[in-house]
Amino acid sequence: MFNLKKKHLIRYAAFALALILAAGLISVIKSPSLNILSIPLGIFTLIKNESAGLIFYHRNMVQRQRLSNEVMFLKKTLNDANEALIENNRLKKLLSFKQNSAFRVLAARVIGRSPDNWSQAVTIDKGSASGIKKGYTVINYLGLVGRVIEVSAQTSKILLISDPGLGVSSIVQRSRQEGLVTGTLSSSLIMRYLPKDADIAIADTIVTSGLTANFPKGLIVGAVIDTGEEFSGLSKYAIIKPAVNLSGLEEVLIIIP
Amino acid sequence: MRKWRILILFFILAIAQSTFIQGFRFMGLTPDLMIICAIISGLVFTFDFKWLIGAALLSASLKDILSVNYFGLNIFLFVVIALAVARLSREITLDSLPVQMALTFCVCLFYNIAYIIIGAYLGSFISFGMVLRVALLGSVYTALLFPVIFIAVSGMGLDKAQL
Repeated sequence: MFNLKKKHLIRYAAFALALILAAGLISVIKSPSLNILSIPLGIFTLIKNESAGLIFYHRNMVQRQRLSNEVMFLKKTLNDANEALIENNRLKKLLSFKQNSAFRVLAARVIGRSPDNWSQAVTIDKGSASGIKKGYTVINYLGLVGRVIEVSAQTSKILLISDPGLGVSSIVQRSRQEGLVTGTLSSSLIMRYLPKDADIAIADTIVTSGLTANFPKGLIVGAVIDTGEEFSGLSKYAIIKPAVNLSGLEEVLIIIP
Repeated sequence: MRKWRILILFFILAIAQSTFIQGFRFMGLTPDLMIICAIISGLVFTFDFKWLIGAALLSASLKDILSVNYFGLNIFLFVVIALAVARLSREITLDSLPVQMALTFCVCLFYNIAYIIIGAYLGSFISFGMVLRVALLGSVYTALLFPVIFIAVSGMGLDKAQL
């Protein structure tokens, strides 16, 4: 079927070379192209969000009612927490503890997602023009989201914690047991390298340990939903439900150190 | 002019892949519209080499720009896929939808396996369970969506017989 003749070899070689050049060009044109594509991406995302609002009108109405009840409950909880915080600060001052400076955050809107199934990444509408740099940590109000991996002038790409390529050193909030959280390309995360006798149980909260560069300590990663033993029998793993709904992410906060 | 329409359609599908299609996630997977574009390039521009390469390059470069994978990887894979589909289309009849769906499944599987091999070579590790889920289920999902896109292409007067 594929009959390769000698006289065609040069033509094929030239074609292959052109492909290599085109592939090399991608990294050059990626950043300006993303800036241009951010406009249609933004428009499509807007249409998508608006049509989802219309389609799921009833669900949103019920959810709104439930959330307003929750807000009232949370207001009371927040008030209690504020009281505890004021007390904590006062006691820290008394003990002359060093106060960690609070980090500055920058809000951005998600305008696109990675088109393939092999990576979990989102594109946001803020880039180097807004002060974002590669390696910055991304969160939202619920917890850890991921890390900035590519930056152009108007857009940035964020590798989500659900991507297997991103590992975050984390600890169990209750027992301070350390492990490495990585993504599974699905809705759950996995915490590996836990000792066989690790003190970890279902519903335990997992937070960042601060050992991974740029990830501040204490950011909520998620909650344990299952534990098990690794195939080798030498260590344990835990399945974690992320605190943030990564598939429905609309806005994020970038930590500016 | 009709040929240009197919490039515009590919552009819209690339943007839709990054936005609308994310709402159709099943087990964390989405159908790959861009591979469908590469296959359609091969099926529609079977005897038109320049447009075949142009259409495949457009879908490949858009996918490369919007994703976070190894640089220019899709440029190679998509052009190879489009050329292979065009060549196959000259040899055997690929007109019925079930055959096209089977072809899409095979192409997706080839693409995913190639992606895993290149990824492994470059040091990215993906566990076997994830590979099975993404490679098999992702390919089935894409194959199931193929008729919708192909019928849309034909409906716009962009299939092989009309071009």
